Amino acid sequence: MSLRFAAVWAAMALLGASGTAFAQVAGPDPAAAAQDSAYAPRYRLTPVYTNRINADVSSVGMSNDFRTGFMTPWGSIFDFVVKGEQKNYRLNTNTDETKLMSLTDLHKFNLFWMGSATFSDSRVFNRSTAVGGGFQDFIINDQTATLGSTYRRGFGNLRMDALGSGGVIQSERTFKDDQGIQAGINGGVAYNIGDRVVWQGRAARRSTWDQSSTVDAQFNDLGSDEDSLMTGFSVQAADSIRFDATHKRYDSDRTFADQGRGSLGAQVGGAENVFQETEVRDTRNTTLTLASKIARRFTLSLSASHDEQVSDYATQDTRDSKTLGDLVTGNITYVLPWRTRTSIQFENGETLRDFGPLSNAGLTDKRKRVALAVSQPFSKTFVVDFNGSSQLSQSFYTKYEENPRDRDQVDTSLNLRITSSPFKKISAGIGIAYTNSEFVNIDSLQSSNNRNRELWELRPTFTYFVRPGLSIMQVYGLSFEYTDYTFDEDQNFLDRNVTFTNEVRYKPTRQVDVLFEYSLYLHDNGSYLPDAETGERLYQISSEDRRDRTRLRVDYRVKHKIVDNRVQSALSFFAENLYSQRGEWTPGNYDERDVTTDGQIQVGTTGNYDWGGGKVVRFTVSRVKRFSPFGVDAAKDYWDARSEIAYPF
Amino acid sequence: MKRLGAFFVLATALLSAACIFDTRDPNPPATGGGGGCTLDAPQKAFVCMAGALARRQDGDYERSISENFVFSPTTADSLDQNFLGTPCVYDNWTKEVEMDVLSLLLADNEQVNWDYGTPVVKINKNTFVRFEVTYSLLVRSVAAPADTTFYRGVAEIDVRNENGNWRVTFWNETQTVGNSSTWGFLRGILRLQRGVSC
Repeated sequence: MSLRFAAVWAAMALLGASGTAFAQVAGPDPAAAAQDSAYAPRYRLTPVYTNRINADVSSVGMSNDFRTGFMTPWGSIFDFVVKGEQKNYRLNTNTDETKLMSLTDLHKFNLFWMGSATFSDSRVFNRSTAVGGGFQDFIINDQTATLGSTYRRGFGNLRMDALGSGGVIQSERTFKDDQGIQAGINGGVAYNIGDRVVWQGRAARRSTWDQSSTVDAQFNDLGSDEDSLMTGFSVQAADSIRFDATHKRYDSDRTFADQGRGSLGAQVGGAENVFQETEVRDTRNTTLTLASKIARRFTLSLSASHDEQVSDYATQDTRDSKTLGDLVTGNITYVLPWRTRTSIQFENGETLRDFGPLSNAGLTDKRKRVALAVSQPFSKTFVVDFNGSSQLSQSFYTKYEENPRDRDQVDTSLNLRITSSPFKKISAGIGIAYTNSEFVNIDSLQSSNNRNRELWELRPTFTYFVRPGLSIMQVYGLSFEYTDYTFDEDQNFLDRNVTFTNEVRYKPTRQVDVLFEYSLYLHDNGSYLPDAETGERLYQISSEDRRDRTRLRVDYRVKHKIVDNRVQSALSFFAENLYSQRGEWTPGNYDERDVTTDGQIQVGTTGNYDWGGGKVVRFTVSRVKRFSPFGVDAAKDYWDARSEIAYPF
Repeated sequence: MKRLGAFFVLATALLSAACIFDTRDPNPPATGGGGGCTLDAPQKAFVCMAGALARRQDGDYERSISENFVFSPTTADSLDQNFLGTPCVYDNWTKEVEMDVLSLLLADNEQVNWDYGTPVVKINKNTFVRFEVTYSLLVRSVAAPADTTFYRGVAEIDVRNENGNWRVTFWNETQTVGNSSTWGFLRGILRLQRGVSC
C-alpha cells in the first residue's frame, strides 16, 4: 500500500494540520522532499536495487525496488522509482499485486523557492476465487501528473512558507473510471513575539474536479472543496511553565460516485447501481495545554479540548452524524526524596453523538479515569513497580424509550511487579495482577447480561546462572478468571489455570547454543452451583484439560565477524523441534480423555552480510514440516523464508 | 520503612479512588436471569457471537473476543471512496472500537443475523486455530421504511485459548462474495458515523 501512503503524505502537506488525504494525489510531496536529507544535491548517478522475499505458512511474496537519483544538467534533482510487489496466498487462491513507477524532478530556483514535477503510474490488483467458482478481481490503476511549488522565507522574527500544487489523475476501478483535476495551496506563518511567545497560523484550500463513467452511465460535475485553518500560540510564561492554545477547523464538500447497497442497490453492487453522493464534513477542535516543572522533582501537565465533527450525506442520510466532545486530562509526576517515582493521571470526558432524526442510536458517552504508577528502587538489585487504574464509562441514550440501552461499565486494573537479584547467580521476579470489569445494563430488556468478571494472576519467575554458558529459567503461573451474572446466581464461570515453564540454555562450545524448554498447563472449568442435596453452593467442575509442550533448538554459528562495531558477516544453521500434547476430559473420566498432538520440525539457515555502502544481504530460510490432526496439507509442509538484498550500484 | 510506607499509602489511594466510581442501579431482567455462553471449544466463539447478534445483546459478543482483538479489512474496503476523507478509519481497530461499532449496529437495526456457515480449519495448533469463514450478515434497519441489506464475505478468523476460554483474536477479511459488500465495509461505515479523527 505504498502508493496510498504517498498520496496521504502529499495531501497532508497540502492541507496542513487538517490531515486529510485523497487517493487522487500521488507522488512525493515537494515540501517534505525539500527537507529530506536524501534530496541533498548529488553529483553522480546513485541507483539502488532492493529485493525482499517473505514466505510463511499463509503467503509467499516478493518485492523489487529500483530507484536512482542524479543531478540534471539544468541543476535539478531527478529521482526515478520503479517497484513491484506480488503476494500469493498458500491457504487459498488469492493473489495481490502492486506496481509503481514514479519520476520526480525537484528544482531549486533560488534560496527560497523550489519547484517540482512528478509523474506516477500505479497498479493495485487483487484476485481471488469467488464462492461458487470463477475469478473475482479488484483493480485500481492510477496515472497522476503533478506540478508543485514551495516558497519558504524568514524575516527576522517572522517565518513563512507556502506550497501550491496542481495535477491531473486518471483512475481505473473495477466498476468505473475516474478522471480528475486537482489544485491546492497551503501556507503558514509563525511569528516570535519577544523571547517567550510564538504565534502561528496555517491555512489550506484544495479543490478537485472529477468525472466518473461506468458501463451504463457517466457522472459529471463531481469533485470536492476543502478548506482548513489552524491557529495557535504558545507562551513560555517562565522557564518552567509553558502554555499552548490551538484552534483547528476543517470543512469539506465532496461529490462522488458511490455503490448502492440495501434498497438503493438491491443487495448487490455492480455498474448499474452506481449513483451520485454528496458528503459534507466539518470538524472543529480547540485545545489548551499547560506543562509545568514546578520543582526539580515535580512536573504537572493539564489539557482541555473541545471537538466537533459533523457529517451530512445527500442520498444516504442514514449516515448523518454529529459528534461533540469535551475532554480534560492531567498528569502529575513526582519523585520523592527517597527515589520513589510516582505518576498520577486523570481523565474526564463527555461526548454527544447524534445520528440524525432517522436513528435511535443517539447517545451521550461519559468517561472518568484515574491511574497511578509507582516505582521504588530499594536497592540496585531490588525494585518494586506498581501500576493501577480505574475507569467508569457510561452511556445515556437520547431516545431511551425506543432504545433502552443505557449502560455503565467499571474497569479496574492493579499490577504489582517485584524484581530482585539477591545473589550474583540468581535473579527473581514476581508479578501479581488483578483485573475487574463490571458490566451494568440499566433496562430490564438488557440487564440479564449484567455481569462481573475478575481475573487474578500470580506469576513468579526465577533465573539461575549456573555458570557461563549454562542458565536455567523457571516461570510459574497461577490464574483464576471468574465471571458471575448479577441476576442469576447459578450462571457463573470459573476457570483455574496453573502453568509451569522450565527453560535450559546451554552453550557447550563457542559456536553452539542449545535451548530446551518444557511447559505444563493445567486447567479446569466449572461453576458454583447449589448442591442437589444440601442446597449449599459448591464449585462443580465440568471439564479439565492438560497440555504438555516441549521445544528443543540447536544453533550452530559457522561464522560471525564484526568490523568497526558492525556485523560484517554471519552465517548459522539451526534446527528446532516443537511437540505439544493436549488432553481433555470430564471429571472422573481421565482414562477416556480426548488427546490431540501436534508438532513440527524446522531446519534452516540464517545469514547476514554487510559490505558497507548499503550493500547488504540478509536471509533466513528454513523448511518446516508439521503434523496435527487438522488443517490443510499446504500448512504442514512448506518453506519459510525472509530475505533482503540491497545493492547500490 | 519510610519508602515502604509511602508506597502503600499511594497504592491505597488508588484503591480508594476505584471505589468512588459507582454505577447506576439496574432494573431486574424482564424475563428472569440468564445470559452467558461457554467458550469451551474453538467454534463456540462463533456460536456465542451469532447468538448475541440475534438477541441484540452484546454481552456474549464481548466475552467472545479477546482484549487483544484486531480487525483487518480487505484491500478493496480500505480503498473505498467512502473512506477517502478519513483514511485512518480502519487503523487501530481494537476491541473497544469493535464494541463501539457493535453498539451502533445493534441500536439502529431491529434484526441482525450472522450465518457463519461451516468454518474450515486452516491451521490447528492446540491452543490456536485459524478458520476460514464464508459468512453472510443480514441487517434490517429500524428507520422506516425498513431497509434490509445482506453483507457477505470470506474472512480468516483466529481463535486462541486464553485462560481456558476460546476467544477471537484476529478477524481478517480476505475477499468479497459476489457483488455484495462485506461486514468489514459495514464496520468502516459505522465507525465513520461514530466519528474518527485522522
